[in-house]
Order: sequence, then structure tokens, then C-alpha cells
Amino acid sequence: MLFNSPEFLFLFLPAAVLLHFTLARWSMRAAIAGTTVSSLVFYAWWNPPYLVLPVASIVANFWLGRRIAAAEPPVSRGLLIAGIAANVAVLCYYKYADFLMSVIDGHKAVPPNVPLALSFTTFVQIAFLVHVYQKRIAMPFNNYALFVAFFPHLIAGPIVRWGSLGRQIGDPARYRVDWDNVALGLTILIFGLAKKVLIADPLAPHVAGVFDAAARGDPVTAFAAWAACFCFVAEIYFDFSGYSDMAVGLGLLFNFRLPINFAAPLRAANMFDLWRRWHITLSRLARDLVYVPLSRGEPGVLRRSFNLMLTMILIGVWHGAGWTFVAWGAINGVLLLINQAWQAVWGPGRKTASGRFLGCALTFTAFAAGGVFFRATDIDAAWHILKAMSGFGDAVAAGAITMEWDDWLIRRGYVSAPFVLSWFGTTWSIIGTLWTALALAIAWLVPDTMEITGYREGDAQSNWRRPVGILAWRPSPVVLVAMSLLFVGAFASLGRVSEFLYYQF
Amino acid sequence: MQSRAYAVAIAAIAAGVFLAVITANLMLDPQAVFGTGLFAGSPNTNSRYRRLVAYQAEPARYDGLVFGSSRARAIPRHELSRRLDGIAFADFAVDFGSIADHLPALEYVVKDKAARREPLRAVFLLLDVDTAGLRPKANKFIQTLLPPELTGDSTARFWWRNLTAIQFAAWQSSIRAALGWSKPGGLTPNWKSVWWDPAALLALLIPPAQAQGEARAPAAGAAEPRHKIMDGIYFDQQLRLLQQFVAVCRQHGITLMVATSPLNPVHAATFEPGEIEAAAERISQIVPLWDFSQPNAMLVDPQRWTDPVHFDAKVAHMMVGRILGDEMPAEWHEFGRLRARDGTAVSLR
Repeated sequence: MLFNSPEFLFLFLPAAVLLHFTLARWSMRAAIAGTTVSSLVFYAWWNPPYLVLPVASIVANFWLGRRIAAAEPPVSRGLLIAGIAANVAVLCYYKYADFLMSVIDGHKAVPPNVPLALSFTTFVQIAFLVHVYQKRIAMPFNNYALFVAFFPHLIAGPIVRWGSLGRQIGDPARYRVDWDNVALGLTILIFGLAKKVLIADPLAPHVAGVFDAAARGDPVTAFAAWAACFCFVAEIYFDFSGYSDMAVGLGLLFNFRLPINFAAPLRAANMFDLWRRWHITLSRLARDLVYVPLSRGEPGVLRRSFNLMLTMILIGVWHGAGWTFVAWGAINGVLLLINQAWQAVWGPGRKTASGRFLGCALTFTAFAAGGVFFRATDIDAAWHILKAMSGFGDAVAAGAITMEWDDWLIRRGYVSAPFVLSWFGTTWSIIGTLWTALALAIAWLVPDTMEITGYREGDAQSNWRRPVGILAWRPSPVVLVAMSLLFVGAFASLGRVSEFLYYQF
Repeated sequence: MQSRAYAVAIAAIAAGVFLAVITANLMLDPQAVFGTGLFAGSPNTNSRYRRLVAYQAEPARYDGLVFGSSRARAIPRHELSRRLDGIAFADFAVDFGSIADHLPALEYVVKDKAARREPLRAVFLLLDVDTAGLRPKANKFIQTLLPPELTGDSTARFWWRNLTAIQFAAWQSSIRAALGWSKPGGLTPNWKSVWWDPAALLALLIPPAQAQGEARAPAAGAAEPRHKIMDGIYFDQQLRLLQQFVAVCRQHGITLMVATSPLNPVHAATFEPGEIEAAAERISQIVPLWDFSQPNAMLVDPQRWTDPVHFDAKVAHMMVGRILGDEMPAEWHEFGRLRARDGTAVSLR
């Protein structure tokens, strides 16, 4: 069941919220159990037999967590390592087995059929085990089951930590309807829905046109390659941040505050800034579970650089089994190292408007170019796009104008066919360019959902926020009309329901 | 404004919009699945559903099936029936039909006939070579949803999807059709619902005058047309489904006649040279094929086309005549050719 489907919005969600607060009148434990069951139904909607996996994983990790909390340090450390290894082994079995075999025997790996949410639940539970090991906490099973299975974050994050959501689940004060949170939650939910269906979805076919052509080995012009990679960054940003906004909004309907996952990352002025603002909960988890443990004892520059590269490659591999994801992680690692070296040589410097603009443009361009590996079906296709971007692509093949809208413009004499063919080739279009420009302008110029609503859960730094003036959200008739119109617009586009990109990870 | 009032108002508006969608679908019934439509003759009828319902209403009446896209509607069933020992053909020709639609329908009828202990004697299958490389439209759009009996999918899901589909263009075209505001001719006035189908789109975009013989000139400076059929994964997928289709017919002793649709020369000219013939040749490696997709002097006549992609009854009559071995008039002598594996003529059974 997708967040942007009618069955979710108009059947499942109202039923789940009503069930939660009806049961909460009776007891907190009943509400927790009820919402856990709702969440498992939500998961089972996708593929009922696969429900066994998260249920077994929740039971096993809870049991392990209890043992770790009760054991003495040497034993608890062993249990922790065993727990992490077991979780990683399950993930590897489903997600990486074929890829790893392909590395060994050289066969062409096929995209794995990964159980939904496995990457996210694995990380959530590993973080939980580490938390239990460090803090020696005790927790009821019901609370833990809801913590892992809570449907707003279950499928694609934000990746939650026991220290935040676990504490909220155990707080009896949260089991009463809080209309302030409901109003805020509905607002954030609508913003997220609009980001997904009004901005991200229309970009998808434009990106696919170029990347599919590259996968077939068809010619792609330099402009088309660059435009498609910018377009892809806009698509994945609005898709995933839209999903994350919806998750936060849904959490608020249940009176739980999930952490924000994006902090207007495309406005970042350097790579470190970008990775502090892009998929925040994953970056933090990777920092806490991989980079920090590896960097204990004040290591030298080389060692820290190696640790950073390793962390970024693991982030890349977490997204998918394939060399493209390894390359994507490595490229981002290299970009971070270049950023680090730059800062070491030049220092923080004086922040000027032009300097910020240049930093922002460079960061975005570098991140977008790296994103080619994220989107391409394989290394060859990525290389094909990169060659085109660098001007070494194949010459444009003779071909008809395949984009209907461009064809329409040409027929009416607004643009010439040679212009379209020489700049866009047969894979890109004027409409794609306009959509991309519009989406990026929104990302750069329009305040983010979390700025407008002032939602700050999990926002460790607030220096990215800009004053929003009259756009600051508060319940009012004007805002009600505006949000209703936005909802109707988004709802009207639900006819072309599409999956969220992050469902595949 | 109180948060509570704000939240309740948003929830109420959302619920209102949702109920409005359900009401529109029930009242207008654009796919003609509920049987509650205020207006008859929706141009967006789900022909997959309607064909199955029509068969289910009188299953004992039929012992033959006609499969194809909207082009197959021109095939004269009565003539086929008269010439083939009175076999009664149930119509399974559906909009944007491909083998992905036909195989589940065939399997359903075969199973149903076996359960009823009734014979299924003959199947006429009309294939569109020009769209064989495209992604099948079966189950892709609300108008092309396959009935749950054919997919094994949940019945509730089928009805839910029809009930909750947000389809402004289809609602609009239903009302326009009911009020007589639609353009005459063509597949459907609702071009927005067919923009993804090159053949249907072509039928709607080209003005009649231009369609009648005039080639659709590429934009100034644009290169030659280059549509391909066999590139990509879909053509091979369709061939695999065709193999299954043929196997089912053979397994149950059903006489199978397979033909390809004649193509308007204007439309055919938008493909790579030789592409259509090569695709037909690939199909004939699976099953003997009456290939009508090749250029023919008679097809240049604009009178032979009801729109740029749909041939008329005369062409259909000639197809049936050719397939059944009639003496053809001189001007139709070159129309249609039997292709078979290694070029040998084989029995149609």
C-alpha cells in the first residue's frame, strides 16, 4: 500500500488512527498492540507471506536486546556482535547474495527481489541493539514491536532511534488526541503528497527517456545528459523528501514525532553541508555506527580519510546491490575528501553571497554528476551518460522528434527542428527542461516544508533555516483554503499512482 | 483558528473530494463496469470487461473466439461463422488489445468450456505487428483493467480501482459523448486517454484530409521516421505469450487462424524499412501466419480506412476471403501472404 494511494489515504489511515485512539481510551497497551497490528497489515498488503520476515526479526532482536541488557560486558559485547552479524547476514542473503556471487563467478547479477523495508528495519534494529548495549535499557515487547513496525517509517524511513521514538511510545501522555499535532500532521502530509505527485512524478519520464536510451546504447547529447542528471536529482529529492514529509505528518496524527530527513539539501554550499542535510537519519546512523567506531583514538588524516571513504561506500551499497551503488558511494566519498582538503588549505574563509552561490552551484553539480551512477542501470550505461556529459558521446543519430510537445512547438514554428535535434537529441525535450528548471527553482527558492511549518524534531542544526515571513504556518482560514487546494491538486494527480523510489532499497 | 477546527475541516474536505470521485464514477460509469451510468455509449468503455461479461451471459452459444485489437472489430463474424460450419464466434477484440490480453481470456474460456463439457472449435487471432514492440496496455490503465476472472487478482481490488479512479478526461468525454459534443469518427474523442498509444493517437491527431493518403510530413529538418518494433523487451515477451497461446490451442485441438492487421501506408512509413516484415517473419516462426501487414496497392486508397489505423469492412472481407481460400479479384491478388516456418505452407490446425 502506497502513501499516495486512495486505499491508504481514505481507508487504511482513518481506520488506523481511529483504532489507535479508541483503544487508547481503554489502555495504552491496547493502543500499542492495535497500531502494531495495523502496521503489520500495512506491510502485509504488499506481500502477505513476507510478513514472517519482519515479525521473526522483531522477535529475535527483542530477545537479543533483552539478553544484551542482562549480560555482563564481555558476553553482552559478543551478543551485540552476533546480533549485528545476524541482521547483516539476513540483509546480505536477500539483497546482496547474487551480487556477491557475481563478483566471484563473473555472471551478470540480476536485481534482487528484496523484501520490502528490509534495509530500513535492519538498520533500525542494529541501532537498537547498539543502544541497548550502551544504555542497558529495559523495554516491553509491545513497545519494541511498535517501534520497529510503526507504519509511517516502516517502509522507507526516516530511520528512527529507540532513544527518540521508543521513549515517546512509552509516554502515556501521547495517547490522547492532540489537535495541534493533528493539524500540523495533516499539513505536512499534504505538503509531502504534493511534492511527490505534483513535482517528482512528472519528472520521472523525462529522466527515464535519457537513462533508458543510455542503457540501450543510443546516442545522448551533452545537454540531454546534463539535463537528465539535474532532473534526476530534483526527482529523487522531491520523491524521497515528499515521502519523508508524509511519514512525519502521519506520525503526528498518532501524536509521535518522527525525525526530519531532509533539510533543503540542494541549497547546501559544500558537500559536508549537503550530507548533513540529505537523508539525515541515514547519514547520522552511518556516522554513529561506522565512522565514529572506526575513528576512535584520534587517528591521522589518512586513516580518517579511509574511514570516511569506507562509510560512504557502505552508504552506497546500502542503497543497492551493484557496482553502480559502490561507485556512487565512492564518488561522494571522494567529493567529501576534496571538500575536506579545500577547507584544510583555505580555511573556512569569509562567507560572501557570491562565494555561497558558487559553493552551492559546485556542490549541486558535483552531487548531480555523481547521481548518474545512482540512476543508471549499470556501469556501462553510467559511463555512456558521463561520456555524453563530457562532450565525448556519440554523434546524434538522425531521428524523428519523438517528444510530442516539442513536435507541437516545431509545427507551429516556435522552435526549429534542427535546434531541438542538435541540443536535445531524441531523448530530451523542451518540456523536460522547463519542468526541471521549475522543480529546481522550487527546491532553491521556495521554503521547505519544515521551514514553513517550523517542525524541528531531529533537527540537530538549524542554521539552514531561512525566515519564512508570512508563509509561516498556523491554522487560519486562508491557510485552510490554500492547503485544501494543494490537496485537491495532489489528489487529482493520484490517478497516475507511482511507487516511491526509496521503496526499492 | 483553532487547530481542531482546521484539522476537522481539512479531513472533511478530503473526504468530500473522495466521495465526489466515487459518486462521479458511479454516476458516469465511464468504463461501463457498474451498469449505473447516466449516459450510455461511453467512449472509454472497458472492452476487456464488457467482452467477458457478454461471453458469460451466453457461454453455451459460442464455440469460437475472435481476438484482436479494435482493428479486429471489422472482421465479419457472421461471414466467418457461415464459412466455418456455423461456428459462433464470441467477440474478444479489445481496445489496444495484445496477446497479453488474449492469452488469459483464451485460458479462461478453455477452462470454462471444459467445465461445461462444451467444445471450443476455432479461434481467430488478429495481431498488430506495428504495436507488437510496445508495452502491452493490459492492466496498465483503468480503461484496460483485466477482469479478476482473467488475472486471478482480487475482485475487491478490481471494483475498488474502478470506484476510486480519478479520471477527469474520461468523465469529461463521457459527458461530451452523451451530449453529442464529440467529434465524429476516430477511436474516441478522448485523446488524453490514448496519448500513450501511437496507433490510436495517430488516428486522433491526423486530420481526415491528411490521413487520406497524405504522408505525415516530418517537421522541417527532422530526419526520417525510425520506429522500431523488435528493439527492447516487449516484442520478445509478446512472442513468448504467443507461443503459450498457440500451445493452448494445440493442446485442446482448437483450429487457430492467425493473421496480421493491414497497415495504412502512411502509418507503415513511420517504421524502419524492413522492420514490419521482419517482425511478421519472427511471428511466423511460431505459428503459420496470414500476413496482411505488407504494402499493397489497394491499401493506398483512402476509402479503405475509417481512420488512419483502422481498415474498413471491405478490407476485412478480403482478408477473410484470402484466409479461406476464395478466388481473389485481380486488384486484390497480391493482398495477404501465408508465412510459415521455413516458408512451407502448413495446415492451419
